[in-house]
Amino acid sequence: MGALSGLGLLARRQLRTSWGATATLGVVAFLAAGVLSTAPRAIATMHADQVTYETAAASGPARDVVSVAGAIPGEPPGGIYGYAPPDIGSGVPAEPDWAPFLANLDTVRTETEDPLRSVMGAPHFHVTSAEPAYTEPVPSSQLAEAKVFLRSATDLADNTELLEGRWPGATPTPSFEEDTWSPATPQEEAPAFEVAVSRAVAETYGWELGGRYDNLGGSGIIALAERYPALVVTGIFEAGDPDTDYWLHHSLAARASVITDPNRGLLGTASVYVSPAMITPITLGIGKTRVWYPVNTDGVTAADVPLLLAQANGQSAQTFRVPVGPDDSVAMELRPTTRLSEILERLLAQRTGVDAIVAVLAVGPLGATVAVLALGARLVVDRRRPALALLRARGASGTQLRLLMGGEGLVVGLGSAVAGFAGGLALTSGLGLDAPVTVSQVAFALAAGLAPATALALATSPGGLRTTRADLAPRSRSRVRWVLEVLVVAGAALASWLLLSRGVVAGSGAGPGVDPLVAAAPLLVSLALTLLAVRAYPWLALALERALAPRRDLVPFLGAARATRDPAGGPVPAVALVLAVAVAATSAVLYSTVSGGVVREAWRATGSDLRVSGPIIDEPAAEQLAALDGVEAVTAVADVGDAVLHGTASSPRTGVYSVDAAALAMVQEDVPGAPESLGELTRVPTGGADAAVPVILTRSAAGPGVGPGSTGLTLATQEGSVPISVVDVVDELPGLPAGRALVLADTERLTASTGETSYARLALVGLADDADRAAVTTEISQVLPSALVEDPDQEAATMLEAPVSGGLVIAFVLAVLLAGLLCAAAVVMTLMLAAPARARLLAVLQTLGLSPRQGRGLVGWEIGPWAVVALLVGAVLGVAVPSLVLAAVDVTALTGGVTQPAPEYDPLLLGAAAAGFVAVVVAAVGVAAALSRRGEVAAQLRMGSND
Amino acid sequence: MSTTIELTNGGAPASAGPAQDGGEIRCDDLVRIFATDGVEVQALQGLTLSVDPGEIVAVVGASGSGKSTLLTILSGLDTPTGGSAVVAGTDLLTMRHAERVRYQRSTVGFVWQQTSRNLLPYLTASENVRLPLELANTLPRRERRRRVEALLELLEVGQVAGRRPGEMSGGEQQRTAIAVAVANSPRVLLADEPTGELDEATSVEVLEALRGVNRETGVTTLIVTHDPTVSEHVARTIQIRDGRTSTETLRRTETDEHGQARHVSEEFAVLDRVGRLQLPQDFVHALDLRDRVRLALEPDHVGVWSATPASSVEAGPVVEPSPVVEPGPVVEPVETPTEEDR
Repeated sequence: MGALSGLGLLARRQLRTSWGATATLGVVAFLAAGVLSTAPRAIATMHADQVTYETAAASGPARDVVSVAGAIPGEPPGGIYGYAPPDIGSGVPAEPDWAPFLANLDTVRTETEDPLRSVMGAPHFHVTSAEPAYTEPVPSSQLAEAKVFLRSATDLADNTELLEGRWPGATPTPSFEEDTWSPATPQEEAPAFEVAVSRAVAETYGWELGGRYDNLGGSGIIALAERYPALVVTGIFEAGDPDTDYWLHHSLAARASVITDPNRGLLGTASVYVSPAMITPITLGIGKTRVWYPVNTDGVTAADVPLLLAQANGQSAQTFRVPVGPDDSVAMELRPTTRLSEILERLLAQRTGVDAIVAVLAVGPLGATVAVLALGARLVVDRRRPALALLRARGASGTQLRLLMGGEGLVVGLGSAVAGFAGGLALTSGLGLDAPVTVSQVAFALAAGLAPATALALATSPGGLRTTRADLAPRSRSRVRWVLEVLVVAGAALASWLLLSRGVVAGSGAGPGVDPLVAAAPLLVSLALTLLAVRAYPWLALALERALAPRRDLVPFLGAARATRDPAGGPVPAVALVLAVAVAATSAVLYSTVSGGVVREAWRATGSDLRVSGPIIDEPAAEQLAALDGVEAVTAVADVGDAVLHGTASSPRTGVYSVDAAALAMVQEDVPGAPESLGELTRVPTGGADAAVPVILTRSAAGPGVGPGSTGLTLATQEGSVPISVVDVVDELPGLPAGRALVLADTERLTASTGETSYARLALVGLADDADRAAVTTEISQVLPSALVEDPDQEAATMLEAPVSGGLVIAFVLAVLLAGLLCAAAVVMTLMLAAPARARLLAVLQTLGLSPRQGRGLVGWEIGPWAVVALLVGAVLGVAVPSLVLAAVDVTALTGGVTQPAPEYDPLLLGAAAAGFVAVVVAAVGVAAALSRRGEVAAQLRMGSND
Repeated sequence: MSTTIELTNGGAPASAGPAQDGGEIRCDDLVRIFATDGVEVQALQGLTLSVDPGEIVAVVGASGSGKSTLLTILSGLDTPTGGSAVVAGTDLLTMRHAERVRYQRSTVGFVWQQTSRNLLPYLTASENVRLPLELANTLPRRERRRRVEALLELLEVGQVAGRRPGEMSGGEQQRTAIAVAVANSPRVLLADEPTGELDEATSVEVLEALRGVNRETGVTTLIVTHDPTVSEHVARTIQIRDGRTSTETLRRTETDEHGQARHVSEEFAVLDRVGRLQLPQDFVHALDLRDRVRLALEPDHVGVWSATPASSVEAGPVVEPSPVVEPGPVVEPVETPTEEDR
């Protein structure tokens, strides 16, 4: 008795007596707090991972801060004109001290502001001759030309392994006459200078250790052959993987470039290393210094990206003067540029797309959470109704009642939210997500904790505690409801109109953060459609009831009648169900759109099962490829060059490509987006050789007024004008550059008209259905060693491996799971709310002979019509919401390519989503039935007399 | 009943408190209309009722007569559509939100038919009694305990103070409910079918408890019931028909010439302010009165005659109108011997 203090005891006793419904609210708060605190951090981590992934995927030169200056450190720019021969007599030049220069370069970095500073690594540089030295090709190398750039670097020994010989040293310079020195007329030639080459270059050039190779005069480094008639290989080193960042910056050193010139044969270009002391004498000071700071974005958070982008752009507008030493008068001018900006812009675009999609996805579970909270609060208040009504009648004020219920919610909610937050922290640290906890996440969790209290306090309406007779209860709130619904529908229409009229905001232009319009429009549309469905529901149910009335079995009629006259739960569970279906459908559609877009873009870019590019692919090579096992068709694609398309409104400049049209038609038989009319390119012109060549144009080449069948156009190529007839106008030509004005013709037809032969450097390979891609790729590499072989599936797989793609998939799955859970909770709660009334009804009906199966049928009728409505409306939303998202959000950063993908509907995924929803509802009905299978008929009938 | 109980303010004893405005409960032409979707239900159609301070009155009526509506209005749970209703000086029509809370806390207490609706199932009897004290928060904390004990003693349920409602008999529950109802010393106690769920013996017990509380605390008591036997326990029984008070039965105890005590009950028709009265249903049937009747003012009474002579062949003189209803004693006083031990 003494323990009774205020309403506290009452609250405690209440909670102890019936805790089930309140506990559900606690579970919702727990989940909400956990998700709200975890999801933003997971997304932040994902974006940070994506920064690292994108920069790591980029090669060094495409990422690092690079500056190329046209001078050798310590030498005046301009080379020969400032160059004074060191000694008139031959002498060995001293090695320049480049260490202070390196230190000064590092100062540039340390003076940069964060976060760019911590992204930039220690500087590297090398000095390379501006012109190559032409050497006499070794006959065994089969090279027609063997030119080498001469390079010096201080860190070469650290990055290579010397296989044979020694590193090159300084050798005597040629001597000149003191008064009238001219580089071309030395008094005395210098001995051969020493070079080190990589093993790969040595093999390509046919060079050996100790070999002496003559320099050729005429072009390249000024008067090299006159001054230094030869070079000698003193060292051969192993460069390792030529695709590492070091060797990409030290171009041509790890691997020589050999290109085939149809007229001259094989032309080799490579870089070889000379002693730093020698670079100035040999090149006469005409060299280039390449400075680079490796970029490593580990630890860059998503929030840093906009600032980093601004800094990177700002840095490239600056010029830094870097002295070589303390008393250096000719400081080197550095203009650092970085292609990191491109990566960062792509990152920002990806982030905008991902954030917008996540915001749209979050709307579903969030709305369902609110609905479940509202339902749960109603359920709790409903269970407490007699007690609350009694308290109210005994003189408890409305505030006291709200405090009582709110307090109960506060205890349960805050405790659960703290547990949820802690659980989220444990989960994220367990998963290794190291994003920081922000104030907003704590605020979200707190809000989740306060939500049950708020919902309970709001649901405790003192006026609504007494049960009123339905016929005597006035419908006073209907006007407010009408106004609210009209506002929601109008808001949805307005938001959609704004989004659609604004169009796609491309990538980084959208600015940081989630566009509120993009997040709000889908929610408003979902709500508006749900409310319309709720309004239409009674009419549908009534129609159903009328239709079922003549039938002889009771359950459909009684179920429909109850659905019409005493609908369970009203609009709140409907909102939860519709949002759940909508989220599932939206997720499925967006997922298939994005992943389908990735695959289609990959196919669009490659244009065939395999895309072989690089070396010249002439007819024998193409035949060799076609003969490979598993290859069905091969076409070489030749870039004929630019041509002007006359006869159209704007006479655009177009890129002309020629292919073996018949083969291409076979190759691109099952490639999405391939033109249907490839076969017509081979059509023999009716007017003989002079007649028009059939071509396919891209839309940007065709321009307005030109369509299939257009004639009278001429193509002005370098060789002359060719009349053409347009066979087809297409959006894109898979395998050829996207977004350009292109003309595609059949090689034979075009050659017949122009007499021009072009060399193809690209082949599109079609494989048999059962071909082993990897095996064919390997074989192609053997036939054409320097070719780049691209496989669309692999390209797509690489794209989908990115953290944003994986994260997006997780977001889709999580949103669907959460929505499903909440949907199940909403169904259970709705059925529990209706349980007392249903139990009485079933008790009465059972005494009249209702079978348990029919009883279950009646339960099904309580939620079944809503489930059907949710499926229908959800399906509509599954079409509408992704369309809205794709109309407003640029997802090309996620799919690659330049064209925004159209929504894709994967029947399998959508069917699975619908089946999953039905399964969830059925399971929830089962749970609700199990929870309320406590009342006995007799007890129910006795209880019934109480009311 | 030997227990005495201290009264705080508000509990105006019948003997001491002067009548205010003619009564502790005064309803004049009380109207309550429920209107939804164009359908109107007139639950109360100009009900007039006056109860003096300290009086104990039973209101009886058939289902649908409006007695429940009257009680919800008097308990402050519902607002009348028209007329006037003043309880202990509080005008129920103009009552504001805060006033309503105060009114429910300290002016009225009530007992409902269902024992389960009166008591919170998870609180013990004493905790249940203490709850209204906590809600009102007017009594000093240390005195609350004493008051709870005194109330339980007054209603003779002290022995179940520590039990929950589920562990008590129906009679004990209702007596505890009465204790709860009068915990804040209300001026009016309303009871809605307090014996509806009880057997006859327990009913008597509960009704006597109500009478005892009325006697001890002087709380004005209104018992609504459809049980005609309740009227045997109260001095005044008011019958409601079709949303109006129709008749009143007054009971008094007379001692006859032999020194024998007798209960005498007299039934009266109620005449409202504007002169409307309801004829008892059996009178109407007996004379087959329909549509309209003839009235005649006599020196000491009013005569009512059937307007259609043919229909009243058996009812009365055809040619010469004869008085059917006479004011004054409508029915001959029914005399019943008093059971001495009651």
